[in-house]
Amino acid sequence: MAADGPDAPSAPDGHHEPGLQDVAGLFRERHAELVRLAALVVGDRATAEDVVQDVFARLCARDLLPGRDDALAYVRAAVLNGCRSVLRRRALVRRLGGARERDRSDAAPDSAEDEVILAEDRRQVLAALASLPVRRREVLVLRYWLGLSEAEIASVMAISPGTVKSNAARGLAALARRLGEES
Amino acid sequence: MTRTEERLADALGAAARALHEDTLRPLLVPDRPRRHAAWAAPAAAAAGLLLVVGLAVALAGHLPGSGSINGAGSLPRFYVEAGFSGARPEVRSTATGAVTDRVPVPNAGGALVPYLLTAAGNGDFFVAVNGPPVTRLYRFRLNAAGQVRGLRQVPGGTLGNAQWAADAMAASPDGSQVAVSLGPRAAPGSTICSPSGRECIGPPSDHSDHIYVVNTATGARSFWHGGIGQSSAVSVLSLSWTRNGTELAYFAQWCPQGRANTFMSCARGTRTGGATAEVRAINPASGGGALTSGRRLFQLSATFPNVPQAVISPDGSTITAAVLTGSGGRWHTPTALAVEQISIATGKPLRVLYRQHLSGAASINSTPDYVTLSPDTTGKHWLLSTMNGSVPCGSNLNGWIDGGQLVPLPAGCTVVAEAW
Repeated sequence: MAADGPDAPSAPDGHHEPGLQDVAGLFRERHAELVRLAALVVGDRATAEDVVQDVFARLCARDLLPGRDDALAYVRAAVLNGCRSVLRRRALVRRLGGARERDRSDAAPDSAEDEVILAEDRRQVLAALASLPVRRREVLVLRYWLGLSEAEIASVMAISPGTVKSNAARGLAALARRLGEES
Repeated sequence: MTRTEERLADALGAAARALHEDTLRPLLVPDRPRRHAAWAAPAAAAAGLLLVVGLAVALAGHLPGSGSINGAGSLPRFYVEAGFSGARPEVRSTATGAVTDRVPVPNAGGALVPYLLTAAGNGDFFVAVNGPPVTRLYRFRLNAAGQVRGLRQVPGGTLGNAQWAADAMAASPDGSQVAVSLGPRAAPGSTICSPSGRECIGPPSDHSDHIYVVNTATGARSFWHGGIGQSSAVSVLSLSWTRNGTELAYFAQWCPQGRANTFMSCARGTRTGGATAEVRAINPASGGGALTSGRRLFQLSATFPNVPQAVISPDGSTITAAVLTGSGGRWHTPTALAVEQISIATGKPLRVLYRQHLSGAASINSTPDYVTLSPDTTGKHWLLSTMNGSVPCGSNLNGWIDGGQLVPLPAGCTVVAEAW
């Protein structure tokens, strides 16, 4: 389910990975980053928190965590898998119209503060990002928010570096079109 | 960096910063699973052996002779299933789960529901290939080894377009007619993409489903449509026929326009605000008309408030329904799934074929978003599969019901169509 990437990606700030010995330690260290990653992919905070909680619970219950070198990439991959499941379920639920939960991606922004912080220009960019296919969206978030290299993204997403490159290029081109820019 | 890259990085950074760490909901540490006692391993091994022996005995008792294929009256030897992934439908052995063949239909191209499947009582199978840009119907048969033979397109079986695709299908017992419901590929007011990301389209203006009945010999079609009122949208969840082919039943929910997209429960679990779900029977020989012209056979009630799937039995006397009951957890989700047979005459439950306790979200057997119930041509044997996109692959139910138990069948991931 999750990637068994050979190389641990760098932290967003470029520091070396901390010595994460267990699930709780890793999540204590990376909770906010993981929720932000999920929020940027699924589009809302509450679902993002649920996704990260579910991954945390599963890893705790099953003692699933590879060695320290792979741990963060593994957890990021698990969070992205959880995001994909949510998005897939939303799509099918919308199609079938028969589910029980409110689709929280359609909800109002989390707070008035968010409204102010996210200026209209950024909203346009995020809306354009949200309209991309999931894989391209994930590649762009990992590249332009986490700052991961193509190899690191390939490891997290369990795809080839060439696929990362093509998805990034197509995703940026689509964004540029939707934002009315030259790519 | 290009201007697009700069804007993207800026927007992502701002969105991430807006999510303050000190406002995050704390992570909850789950209860640790109990450690197995020292005797558990040998006991489990013994139980496993008993299960294998029991299954072999059960299958030996059910399985027909070597020359018998599906439709002979006993447990079907093969079933066909299609998953959510878009991989072509597979034929599998009921006894072993082994793949005996793949149905060589065109690739569905990343449609949201790629393939639909149904079996007729004469041994014919039908598959609807959703996409792009249209839905096409094919028929085929299986030989004694479970291999696909005689695959060909159904006359008149090219339906839909880039906006509309098949979402339910059922063949009449003699294979002379196939009923297909067409629904919008996208929900109103939204643009959605298939899981593969290859198909992203906008909404059609009208999102009520339509039912076509296709004469598989001549290609002639009849057509049913229409909701309860102008402000309602109908969504067909399943189609089924009586054994003599004189009645076509459809299970559908009617939702106020727009509500199905913004508050997803619609008819399930509630009957307020104009939402409802019913099984109605229409006469396919009447040539078409309004969906609501059909005879009502079943509707949601206090006894059956939450029904994700329902089909008519071949003898036309009962409705077999997946029924969700109970309430628990953060989302007040159902806590049990039962497959029940309900008398059409009295509306009362006759018997429970299968019952399963549901665990919480993200756990095995959590509340399904999507349920398929597929009877064989005798109506005696039922395939059951559930799909919840938020649980890991393999955590959903997939099997056939035997004496109150679900005999598990392998599934690639999530099953969206099955027939036998």
